[in-house]
Amino acid sequence: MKLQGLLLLLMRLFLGALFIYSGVVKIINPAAFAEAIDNYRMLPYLFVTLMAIILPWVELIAGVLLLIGRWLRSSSLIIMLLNIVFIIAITSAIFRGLDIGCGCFSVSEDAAKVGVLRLLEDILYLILAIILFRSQTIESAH
Amino acid sequence: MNVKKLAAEIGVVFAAAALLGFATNDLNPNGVKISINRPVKQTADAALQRHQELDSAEPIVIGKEQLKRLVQAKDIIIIDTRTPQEFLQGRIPNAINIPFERLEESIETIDSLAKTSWIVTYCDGPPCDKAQLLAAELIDMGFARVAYYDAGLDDWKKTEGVQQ
Repeated sequence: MKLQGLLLLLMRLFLGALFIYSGVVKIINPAAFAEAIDNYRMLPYLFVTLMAIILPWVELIAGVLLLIGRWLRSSSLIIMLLNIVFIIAITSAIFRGLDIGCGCFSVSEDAAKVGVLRLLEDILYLILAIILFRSQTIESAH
Repeated sequence: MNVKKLAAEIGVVFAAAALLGFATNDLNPNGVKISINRPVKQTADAALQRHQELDSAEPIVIGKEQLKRLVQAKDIIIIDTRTPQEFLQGRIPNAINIPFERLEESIETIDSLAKTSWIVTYCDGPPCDKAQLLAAELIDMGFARVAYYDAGLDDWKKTEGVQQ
């Protein structure tokens, strides 16, 4: 079971670092992130601004918790929920044919566009978060 | 699984994120302003989109407050359409001079303008219509994001400084 433990550790560190990076990039420029969210045309502008202010910090805090190994169940659950939201948003943008920046790990206008590749990436992160969440649940049950 | 504990931890994360988010957003020069209404840049984009949907080639009119917000967003080229002499005597800060009467001499300058930025033209204000005419010319030249500040420099000078 050592290999399994190592894999879980690597997943945890990877997701933690990824979401810390993702959060910091957006915290530096909330206005640009708000514009990226608004480009999806899914939310009233008030919610766009609130999301632009709060969501990056949720990513950062959940990332730090994953990295330091505290509150692993809640932090991996948060990452799961975030990825589900991202997957819904990207899927909807693809179906509406929107040619917009993803706003995922960069808020610049040259950032990666929404598309199937970004969708697959988020599905991968969702799977990693589910595996981490389940491993914690099983661990706490023992 | 202790659902209550899980919910409490998630609540703490969101509460901490909200606290930190609002605190840092206020201090951040790139902070977002909480508002029900979209900022002018997006509003202007949407207005432009409506124009295109209606197949109208009319540039849009903006006021001083909208112009100031576009300047803050930095994604803007301001064009003073008056004569070089008038331009030197006083202009909206960071404006460039493309005299409407010498449009043909300024084609190279116009070609070099970024098509992705908003272009706002102005002159003294009514009855001067050079800003509107140049804006219409720019649309004909293929620029999509063109507006004119109809009230012009006369209006600007009432509350804002000019550059000399």
